Amino acid sequence: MSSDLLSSSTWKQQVESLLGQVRLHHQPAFEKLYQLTSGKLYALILKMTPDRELAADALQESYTKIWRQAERYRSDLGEDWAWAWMCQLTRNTAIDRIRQTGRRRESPLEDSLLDHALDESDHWDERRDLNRCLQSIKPEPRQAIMLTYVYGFSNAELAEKLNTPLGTLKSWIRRGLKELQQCLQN
Amino acid sequence: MPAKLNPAQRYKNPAIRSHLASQYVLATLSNRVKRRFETLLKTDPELEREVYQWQNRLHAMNDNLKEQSPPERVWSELTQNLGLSELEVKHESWWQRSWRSLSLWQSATALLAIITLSFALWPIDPQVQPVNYLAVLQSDNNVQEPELVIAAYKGAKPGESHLHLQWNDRVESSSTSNLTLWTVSRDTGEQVSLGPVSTAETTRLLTPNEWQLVKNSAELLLIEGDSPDGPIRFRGPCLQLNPWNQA
Repeated sequence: MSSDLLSSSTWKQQVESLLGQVRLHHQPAFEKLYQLTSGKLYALILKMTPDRELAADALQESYTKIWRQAERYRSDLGEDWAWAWMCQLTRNTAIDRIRQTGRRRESPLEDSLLDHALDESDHWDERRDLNRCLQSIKPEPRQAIMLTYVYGFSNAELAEKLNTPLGTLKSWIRRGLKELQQCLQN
Repeated sequence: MPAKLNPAQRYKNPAIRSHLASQYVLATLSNRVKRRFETLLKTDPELEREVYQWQNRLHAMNDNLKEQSPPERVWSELTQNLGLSELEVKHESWWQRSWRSLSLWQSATALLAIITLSFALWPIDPQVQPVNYLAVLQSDNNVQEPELVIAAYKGAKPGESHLHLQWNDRVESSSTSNLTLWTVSRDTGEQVSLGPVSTAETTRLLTPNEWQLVKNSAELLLIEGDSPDGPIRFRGPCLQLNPWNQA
């Protein structure tokens, strides 16, 4: 079933429950988890690289780690962490592969990204909060954070892309994250 | 001018911890710092909580992604590489699965049984170290009970940790004369041999390096012969029984 047809909390609860069973090496749960999440994780990787073969390999490696490292996932840390944990593991895996091969997507800059991410009609609460807070910070830090997170740029890559000194870029990101943290805590 | 912090102090500073956690989630740490940070994460649950909080703040940016179907080869290679190729379970009752599928209640029941077994086999004595890691091994023969248990005990000093292998008396035990014990790394999947299993039937001391291999293993295997590619006779996930800081 597509995640669009499920509410975010139901969908994330499903992911949480399946990952809990995968921790016990329950194979049918692993298969269901794959069916439920692989489309999204594959799309996440394809945001960072145009190379579909590389993306498929990174996806396969990510699920291998999910199977083998599921015990490391800590359900005690909070609700909905299962999906965030899987995204993080997949991003790290894909970024390592992309940086090794240099098969980086030529990403659009801010406008289309913001159109996509800052959708006012969004019905997922956490997305709405994040969008509101992203809009509240200055454009440069916002652009740097979003390009880094969604497209997986390193600081050096992004500094070059934005034609900005590395120190300035790091400072934008540091300041932007601090403002974002404060905004989300409010 | 503030005094320069040594590495241990640096990682205790809340501002630095939060900064590193945020950079880890953004994936902007250098490889060297990332490796060090990941090592630290394994032993610092509060740092893990920082990472979780940053993941929670940012990951909604990825929720808008339009799904894309991955190539079919991903799943087929995945099941092959993980040894799950027999997984065709869609039309099969889960309770009919063998032990190795480790479904939820089976695992819980088994764990309880094994802990009970552990206490029975190794009576509680203040002089005896508690079991730190336990692997419940099963063959592919569809038997209803685990065939053997491997327990790992942490010694008081490095080099004093040891393994103990115990067959389940209720099932027919197999000959171990040609079996080798292997750890499978939970990080890389790499198999490392701990030598012939016959030496572990009484007490098998572990070097500090071997202890780390057991500690970081996702599962233990008993393989026929001394090659990692040999037939797997028994396998089972390696469970941590003690809290992280005691293991």
